[in-house]
Amino acid sequence: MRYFVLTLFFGLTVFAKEPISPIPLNAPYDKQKALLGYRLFMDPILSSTNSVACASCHDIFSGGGADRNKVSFGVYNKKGNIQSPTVLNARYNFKQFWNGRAQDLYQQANGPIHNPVELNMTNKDVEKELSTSQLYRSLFLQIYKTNTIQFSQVIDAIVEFEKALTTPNSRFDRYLRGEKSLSQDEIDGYTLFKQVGCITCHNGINLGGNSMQKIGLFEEYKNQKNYPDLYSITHDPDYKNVFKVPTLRNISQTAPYLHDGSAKTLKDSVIAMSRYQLGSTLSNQEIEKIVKFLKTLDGETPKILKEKI
Amino acid sequence: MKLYKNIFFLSLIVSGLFYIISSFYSYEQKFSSEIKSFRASISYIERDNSDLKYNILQSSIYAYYNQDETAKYVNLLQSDYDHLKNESILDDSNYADVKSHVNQLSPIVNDKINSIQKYLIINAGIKNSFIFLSREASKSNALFSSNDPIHLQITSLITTFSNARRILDSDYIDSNVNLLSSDVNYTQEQKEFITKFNLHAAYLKNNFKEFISLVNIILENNINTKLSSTNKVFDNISTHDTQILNYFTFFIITISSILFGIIIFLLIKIANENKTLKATQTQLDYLLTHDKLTSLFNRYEFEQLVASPNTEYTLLLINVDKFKQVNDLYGNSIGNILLQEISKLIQLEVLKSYIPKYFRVGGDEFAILLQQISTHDANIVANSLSNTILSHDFVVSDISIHVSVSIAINQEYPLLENADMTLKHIKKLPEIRYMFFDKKMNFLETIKTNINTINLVEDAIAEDRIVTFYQPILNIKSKKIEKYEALVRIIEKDGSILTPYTFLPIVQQTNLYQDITKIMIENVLQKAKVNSYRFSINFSMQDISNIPLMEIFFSQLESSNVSNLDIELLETEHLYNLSMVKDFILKVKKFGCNILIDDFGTGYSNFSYFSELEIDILKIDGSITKEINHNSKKLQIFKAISSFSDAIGTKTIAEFVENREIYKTIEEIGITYAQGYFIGKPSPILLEEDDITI
Repeated sequence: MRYFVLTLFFGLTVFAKEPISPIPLNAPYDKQKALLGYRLFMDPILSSTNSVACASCHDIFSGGGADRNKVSFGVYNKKGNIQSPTVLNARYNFKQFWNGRAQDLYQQANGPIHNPVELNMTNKDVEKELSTSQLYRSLFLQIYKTNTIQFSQVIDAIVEFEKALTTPNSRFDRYLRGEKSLSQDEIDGYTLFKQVGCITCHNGINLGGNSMQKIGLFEEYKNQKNYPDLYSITHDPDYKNVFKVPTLRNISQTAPYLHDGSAKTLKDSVIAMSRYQLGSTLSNQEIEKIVKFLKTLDGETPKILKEKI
Repeated sequence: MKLYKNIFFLSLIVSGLFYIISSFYSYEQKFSSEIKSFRASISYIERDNSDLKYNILQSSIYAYYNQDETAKYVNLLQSDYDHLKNESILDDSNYADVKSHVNQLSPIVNDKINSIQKYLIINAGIKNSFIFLSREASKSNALFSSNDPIHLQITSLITTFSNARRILDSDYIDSNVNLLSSDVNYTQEQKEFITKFNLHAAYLKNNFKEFISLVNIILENNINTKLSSTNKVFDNISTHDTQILNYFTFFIITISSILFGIIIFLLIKIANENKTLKATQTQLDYLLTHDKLTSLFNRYEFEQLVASPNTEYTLLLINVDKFKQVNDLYGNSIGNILLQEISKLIQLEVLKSYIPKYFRVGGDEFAILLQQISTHDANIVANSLSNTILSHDFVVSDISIHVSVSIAINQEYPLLENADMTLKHIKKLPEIRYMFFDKKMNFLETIKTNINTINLVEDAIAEDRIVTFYQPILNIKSKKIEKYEALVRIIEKDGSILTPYTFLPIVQQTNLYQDITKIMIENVLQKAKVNSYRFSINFSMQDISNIPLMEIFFSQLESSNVSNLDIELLETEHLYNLSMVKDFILKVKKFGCNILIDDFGTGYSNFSYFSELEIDILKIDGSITKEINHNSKKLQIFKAISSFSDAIGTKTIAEFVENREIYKTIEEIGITYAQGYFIGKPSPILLEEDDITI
């Protein structure tokens, strides 16, 4: 009888091919535009107070492209309403923002620039500000063959830079490609990651970023305040607490975790996730192994960041 | 003009046609590309939809699944639908029905995407529950004693769930499915197991129905149904449009064919007009090159033909003798008929072998150009031409007319001019009817020289280069210069001196002659006035008979008040009006003039003059004097003239005394005066006594 049950369950679970793909090497982008985008990304000229840049909340050098704060601070130190997601590998996300309201990077880049608590600029402001700079005028002339800088070109350059922000060759990717081996604990961690069900949502190139999911499947997730979830857009009660599944790439560098930044460590977030999403309690040993696996997802610094601007 | 109009009309039609066809073509292109684009959009959505279904099915089966593809197709479905909505053909009001179908598709697509979204959420929970259950079920063996009925409950639950999942039928899980029931006797660990197990079993129990219904919604064919109905409506309209387009194509082809026909018609018309034009041109060419009256070639054609002397022509120039008289006598119309008859007559059979060309080159002049004919044959031909005309009895209006022709034969360029000259020559010789042009006639050369000489004299008069030279005449007895003969000279531009022999004979035929005489009169009178020598001036009969000139001479002679002027009468054989000469001598003697007879002893010297005219001095011709020492006959003539003059009491002058020997001889003979290079050459200034070395 027991054996019957076991055989039964083999039939229940069908295992597919590898659910995670390595980050492509040499993802295509226009280098000239990307370098201009790099400069714009770093430049507080894009904020109304000349004090905040894209990079202020997307720390591409040491913050894994995300913000160390629970929420970000924009112009006049205004607080944002959600934890800043990483900009690294964002090109592989199927939608942008926590609630997926931007279809692509172009739509996304528009958001923070205009957001009154972030950079707080209009299109005209951006064009006017940049046109006062001799350097930008000559750069735009050189790249876009135009004497009048247009907002769409600014966005285009920034997006091109973001396309360059990929972190290939993580130890895990190289393991998948058969170039490098992982420690037993890390391999066990990956196996657990699949066995306990993390893989259900964290799959694909980005280990996430390809679906919207409800936080609190097996136990209701209680928020301290209102966060901009999918419900805030659709007003469908089914979508309460539905957010885009965040990528786990470079996850060790992007603390704090979750949309509300409530998990300070990887362990905290693994515990929270197993409780709310898996409806199970993992042993300490299991958690440690999974965390070890997660740490193999740190990729190389994007090549473009080594360029001088 | 009509031709240009046609061409204008033609190009208008062609450009109009081109415009219609090209705009039709671009419309047709646009239309068909819009149709293609619309159909492509539809098929993209169909593809996205079926790819999505496949993905969803896979993800529902596999324990874990890479959702990147699913995400990609969801995004594609959304963007392809947006693309379909923006198809430009939908802006066409004819496609309003299609547009409303496309719009109706919007909620279906949104529903589908929304369902997929919800499916993915529930699917995550269901998967994780299955994963959990499959992991936890095995733990029950260790946790519970083997005879615990909980095993049966677990097996029953799992069988239910696995069947339901395999068959994807929610009916397998109904509200009657019982969760594990706990027992107060269970240990804490056993209770926790049951709680966790039930958490997932409850999730499956509560959500499986929803899960199945979502899968069914996703797998539903509603998108494809709507797409195919959209396609159907689209096909209906577009087929109709295509049909209209086909009708229009037919219409265009018909119009094109008609226009093509018109173009062909116009082209033929233009070709015909060109033909007429060519005929007109041929006619004009004929008129330009032919004589209207005789239909022979005209002078223009003659000149054209001989202008390029590539061919060696022999010209027979035929002039109708005394044609003017025929015209005057019988009238122009008969004259014309006569010319027509002659034009036919001259086309002799015998000429045909010489490739003849016949021309009327003047009112009464015909020309025949022959090739490859010998001089001998040309003469024979001319003779027979002349005879033919001469013997022909021209009967015009019952009048019988006989005419003769003069024929010049010429092979030398300029053809017509030389022949003309030859004709003039013939006309002077009544017995000659035809003549070959001879280079030795040299008419041209003479005319040229004459013209040059006349120009030269004219210029000399205008530029004051007619000068008077004076040659001394010595009294042999006194050994003193007593007289000077005034001689005309022209100083040329280069300073050389022309003697009258080169120009006077030519100038004599013109009015310039009297101008020269006037200059001489003026100069000599001036000279005579201031010198005590006697001066002689030469007068010809032409001078004496020129009454206005003589009036001037006498008035000047009178006013100058000189008495040392002598007159030399020239060309004594031509003193045809003796009474006039007589009057002149009488008149001139009143002014103390002596009369000299020049060049005596040559030509037809008329001794009768001496009885009629009061001659004072006899000038023996130089040609006699020159040779008296070598030619005894001349010496005898010289002596005879000397004795004759002694006898009638006139003085004598010997000309051409060129040397001492001649001088000695004439001195012995007893000649009064000597003139010649031995005495002194003619010079513009008078020679002084000292210059004489005798």
